[in-house]
Amino acid sequence: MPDHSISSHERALIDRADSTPKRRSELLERFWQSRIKTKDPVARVGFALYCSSLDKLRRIIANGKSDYWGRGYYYWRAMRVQTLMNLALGLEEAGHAGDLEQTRDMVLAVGIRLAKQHIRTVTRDIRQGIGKTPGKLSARQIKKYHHQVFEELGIPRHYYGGTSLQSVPDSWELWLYGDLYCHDCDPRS
Amino acid sequence: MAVYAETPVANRLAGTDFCIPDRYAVRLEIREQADDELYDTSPGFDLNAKIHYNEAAKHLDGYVRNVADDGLPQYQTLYLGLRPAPKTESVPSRSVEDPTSLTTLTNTKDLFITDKVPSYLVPTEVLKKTANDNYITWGTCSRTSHHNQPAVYACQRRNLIIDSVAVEYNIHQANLSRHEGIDEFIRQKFESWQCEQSTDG
Repeated sequence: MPDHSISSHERALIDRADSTPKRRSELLERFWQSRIKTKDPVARVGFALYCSSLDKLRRIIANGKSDYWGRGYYYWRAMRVQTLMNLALGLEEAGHAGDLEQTRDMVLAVGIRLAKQHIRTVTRDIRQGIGKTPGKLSARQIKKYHHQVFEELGIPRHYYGGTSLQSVPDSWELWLYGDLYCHDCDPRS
Repeated sequence: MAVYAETPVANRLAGTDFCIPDRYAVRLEIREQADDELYDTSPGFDLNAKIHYNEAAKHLDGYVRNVADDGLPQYQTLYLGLRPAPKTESVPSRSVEDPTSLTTLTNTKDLFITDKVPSYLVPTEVLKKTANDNYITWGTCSRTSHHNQPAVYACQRRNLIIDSVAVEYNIHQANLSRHEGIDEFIRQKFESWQCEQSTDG
């Protein structure tokens, strides 16, 4: 069974990314790439979102385990685009509109906040023995910390997971995106 | 016939008399295996709640609404995680062999961290000293400040038991001095969230 705990190296990557805005992109990519090695379910979309090139995403998926990635490169590439669009639209709706560069910086800042919450939630999961597998989060835990970060920013919750269109019925989104994070999450929380 | 007025039954927390009004309810809509009654997979606990920071500030003197430190806001909406409460009657006391080893948490008089130097983003247990000098587990705090900077904590209140519901919420260091007021405020909200019964003939 893989060790899902957060290593001191992974913590240091986020600590540095938090305090060094110019290196955020690179350090977030390294953080999520490291989490892929532990089979962290959130790392798939984390890496897809923050990796510096699509070639790198394609290579990582091609060399990875198919039971971990579940679906192939084109699915995760689509998730990357959808998630980026959700974040950019959500930030704009929350009143944080900016030009392309400013939006990119904000998306990275949100990425740091989510990574910090992820680290805390995984560590708490292990210490408190939550769920079936220590350190492996459930869909509920993942959704909750995303909601919290979005609330802090004033981003409406419906921008998390799925399409950014409120008119799309939740049942459709669940069917389409239900496995986005969680085909192999801890079934209990 | 008794009916539940105003609040839809869909927002009723299973096995409780609480109905979360729509404007506070956060539906999770998660496909989980409902195989363990102790956890929030129980029917009807597919709900959390949130109280907007402006409402919290209106009721709590000095409540800090926004603790932004990176150019983006960090609004202090109270996001309440809800679970069925453990079956034990009260939060058990926590034995502390050497109370002098505890460190008082910044901005508080009655909360203590158990690690002298908490590591970055590692949740550390926080104890609360009760009126009769016992200690109970209050929650956890994590240091969010960088190396060589004054410690700043982000905390999670746990074990707030309101009847048959266990509530947890995040609280930033800036609002820690109001932690008891926040607990009380949440209790009052739950009182107002009792499913109102009316006789309808």
